[in-house]
Amino acid sequence: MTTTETDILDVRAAAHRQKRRRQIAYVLYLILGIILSLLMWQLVAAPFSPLFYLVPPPFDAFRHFGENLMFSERMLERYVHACPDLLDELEVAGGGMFDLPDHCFGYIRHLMRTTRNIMIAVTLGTVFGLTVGLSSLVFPRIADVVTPIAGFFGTTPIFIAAPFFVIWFGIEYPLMTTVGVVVFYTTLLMYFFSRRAADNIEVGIIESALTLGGDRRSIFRWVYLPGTIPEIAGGFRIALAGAWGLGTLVEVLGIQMGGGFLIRMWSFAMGLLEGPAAVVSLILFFGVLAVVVDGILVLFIRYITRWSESGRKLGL
Amino acid sequence: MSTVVNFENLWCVFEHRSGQLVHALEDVNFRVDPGEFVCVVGRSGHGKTTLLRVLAGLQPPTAGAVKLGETAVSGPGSDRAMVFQQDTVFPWLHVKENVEFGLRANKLPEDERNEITDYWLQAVGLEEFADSWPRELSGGMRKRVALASAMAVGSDVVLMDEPFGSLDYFTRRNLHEVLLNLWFETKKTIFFVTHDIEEALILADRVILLAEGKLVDDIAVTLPRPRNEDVRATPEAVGIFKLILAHLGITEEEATQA
Amino acid sequence: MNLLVRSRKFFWIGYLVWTLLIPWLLLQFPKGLPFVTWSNEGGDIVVTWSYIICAWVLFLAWPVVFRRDRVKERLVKMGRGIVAGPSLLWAGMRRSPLFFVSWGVLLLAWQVASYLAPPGILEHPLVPGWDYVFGETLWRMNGDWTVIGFDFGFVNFQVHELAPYPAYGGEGTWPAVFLAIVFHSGMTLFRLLCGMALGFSLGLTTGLAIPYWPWLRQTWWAPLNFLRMIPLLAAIPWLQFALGSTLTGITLYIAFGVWTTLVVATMNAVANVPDRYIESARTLGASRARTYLRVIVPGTIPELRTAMLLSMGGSWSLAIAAEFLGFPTGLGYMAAVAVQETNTARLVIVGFIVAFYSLTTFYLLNEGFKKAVSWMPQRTTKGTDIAKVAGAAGAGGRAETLEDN
Repeated sequence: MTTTETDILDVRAAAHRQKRRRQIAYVLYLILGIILSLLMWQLVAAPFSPLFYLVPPPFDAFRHFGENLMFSERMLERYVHACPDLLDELEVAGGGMFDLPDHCFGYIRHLMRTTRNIMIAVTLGTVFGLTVGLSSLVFPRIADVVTPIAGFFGTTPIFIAAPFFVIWFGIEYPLMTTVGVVVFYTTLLMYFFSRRAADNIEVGIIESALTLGGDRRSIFRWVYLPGTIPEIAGGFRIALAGAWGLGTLVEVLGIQMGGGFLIRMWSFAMGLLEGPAAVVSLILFFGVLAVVVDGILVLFIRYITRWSESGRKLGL
Repeated sequence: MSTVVNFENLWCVFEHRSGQLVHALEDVNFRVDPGEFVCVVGRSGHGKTTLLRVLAGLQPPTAGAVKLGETAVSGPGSDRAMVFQQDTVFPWLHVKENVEFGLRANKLPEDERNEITDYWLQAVGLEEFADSWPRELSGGMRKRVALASAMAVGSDVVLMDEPFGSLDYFTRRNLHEVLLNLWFETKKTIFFVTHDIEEALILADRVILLAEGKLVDDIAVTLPRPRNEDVRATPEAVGIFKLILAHLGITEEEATQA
Repeated sequence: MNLLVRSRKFFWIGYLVWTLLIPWLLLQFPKGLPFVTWSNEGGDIVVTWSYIICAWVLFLAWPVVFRRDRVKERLVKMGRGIVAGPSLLWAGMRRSPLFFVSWGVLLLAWQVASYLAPPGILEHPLVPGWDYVFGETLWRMNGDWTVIGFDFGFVNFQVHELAPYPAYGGEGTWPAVFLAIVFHSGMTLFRLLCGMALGFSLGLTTGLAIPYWPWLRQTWWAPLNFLRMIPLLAAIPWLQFALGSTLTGITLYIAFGVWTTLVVATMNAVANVPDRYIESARTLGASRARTYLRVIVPGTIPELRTAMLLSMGGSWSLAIAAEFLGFPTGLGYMAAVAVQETNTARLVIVGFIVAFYSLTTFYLLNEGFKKAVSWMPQRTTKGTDIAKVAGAAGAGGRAETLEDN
């Protein structure tokens, strides 16, 4: 038997090194994953691939996006739909089409318009859905009325609901159409999520609140409201992730502006070399946007639910 | 501090899913004077928790009534705060806000709330953790938060459903001491459900014995306090212990085997 | 012999063979019988209504012969259900009258809105009343009955005897309406089934396989998550171009959508299996592979439930979407026609049909799951109902669960 003396500082340094090594490995694997994905994409787009004519090589897609972001030749050709608010812009420019600044003909105006509309719509839908869902916790009668109807509408596929909005508001109020569809689905989703979140609160916790003298109002304020946040936040993430698809789809279907409009415009030109590159790059843009917004959201949710395990991850 | 609790011909019958009727409580009658520390002892599934839930107003009786003074219990309320067996501290509220919950529900003004909360946090020894999240506390500390919350609402009667059942021996001993000190100070009536006879002997003035839903005995525990190991080894204490075992249908051989 | 007949394998394989034999068997029926109206024209079977009825009778005969007890049981149950139906409905109405009231009010409000809404400049009303929806519009759906025959290779069915084709100048009939709806929804369901089968199997296998090797999981975690976040609905024009309007195309499209959701959800579910089960299995001497198969895989099922239900809903959207843009058949096509005609009444009908199917498939999948996770402890009381939690609702001694202290 021998005893070795261990320096506590050595042990702590070793622990630190191990942690660092894990972090580095994580980043390395992440980079490896991205590189491998790009390689696979490149392979699919290679001349010997059967999908050669359909899938642009990754860097063609990136280049197309970069070149057309601020000013696009093709948009200039289709000047009628070049700019989401052409008339206003013309008034500001005080002249004809050719006095307009370049950025009026870039993708950026359309992409920003879609982003803004979807954000507004998801916020509105969340407010509606939560208002109904949470008030149904205080007044259960509301749930009796709303749940069957919401359940029925919830099963409506987007391709049935969206045409309604397109026919009703369509060309005249393009904003109403995109926003309307997204609000419709977000409201339903958030309603169900708020109900489910309340279902999942431990019965014991509510009983405890009752024996401490809690009435409906205080239980709502101090138990249901904070207790449902984690799941409602999860629902909000799902709603937002879905909203990018819904919003752009409505534009694809028949709205004359936004990212979806760009996708449709290019999908008529798929035979051109640039067609697939344009469409793929636009779809990827919304994918990246969805990931970035979701990432920000996750940090925010971790902060407001810092009482739960997620708080520990943030170090709060 | 003058509420008498009266159990009058209390019946609680459940219908099992198979349609079979289960008598959780059968004609229970007893009266508890203000300031008493009552332990309800019995085997698992013999009606202890039901008794407490009926008193809390979480479970309506099938027949009979529980009366506080002259009024029959008809629902839960802050005059009978309860500490549960499972973890019921609200995880989304800071420790201080947890203790404050009942006070807020009763619409106390803020400065009064703060005063009471600080007092009880100090009484259970958690004043340093007022701004912590429950997840940052140990199980025993969370139980102390639950205890403080129940005490703080200012009810004359406090109900405890095997509150320390899931804790380790040392934590439990420590909490017994905390609870007894609070009881000496406030002289609240405490109903304490437990299946641990030892625990009942440490805490109770009176032991109510339930078997198959029936009240089988009502034993006055007159041992001197504090009830340390020496007191619990006296012939009187051992006699009570054996009496309870006998009532629960446990013979001495069974007890020694276990 | 008796044992063989009673075995499960015999029953199901036999049933399949029997089903495939039915067209041939029907052709052997003697011509003289009064109900034999079908004919065989050089290998092409001309289908009539009596042919369909006889085929159904033969189809149902197999379980009646080989699983008589079960069939009897089912019939008795169904009979009881039908008898008890009205009283159950009445009890339901008394228990939650608001359910029925709210539906009634909704339907009524729609009708009122149809009178008040401006007629618009379009051919069809913007808000169609129920009379318009289930009268004229439903009737006009007979125009979608355009199928001449189904060629399955080994057998070719001719269906022109069933109803005339209004689209080709024939007379409009209600059977044509029925056939149009059955045909188009059948096409959609078939495509959906193909896509979901491929997507579910791919998603589950890859999702379970990838986390087995931690480096693989770490490498593909981010790319797969990104793939899931891509708005697939917006990609339809491109996918339409890339995959084409073929069964293979739509199958791949639906499968891709299901796969991206499911693979990430499955990987999540694997990560969320509590460590204590895994550690317990390892200390009991189970190998890594065994632990994975016997502990982790079953442990993922409860969480996969939501994911599978979600991706099923998603695949309905994808199927309708793909049909909408590039198929001459299916419910999506029916919706597309409605949009071309700016006919909201037609959309309402298609919406009802889709809702019916998706609620049914949802129910079936959910029931399947309940069987698969019957080992899970079920919660009976929910946190949403304060009254129930407090037990103060009914004064009687009924409780959801027995005391378990």
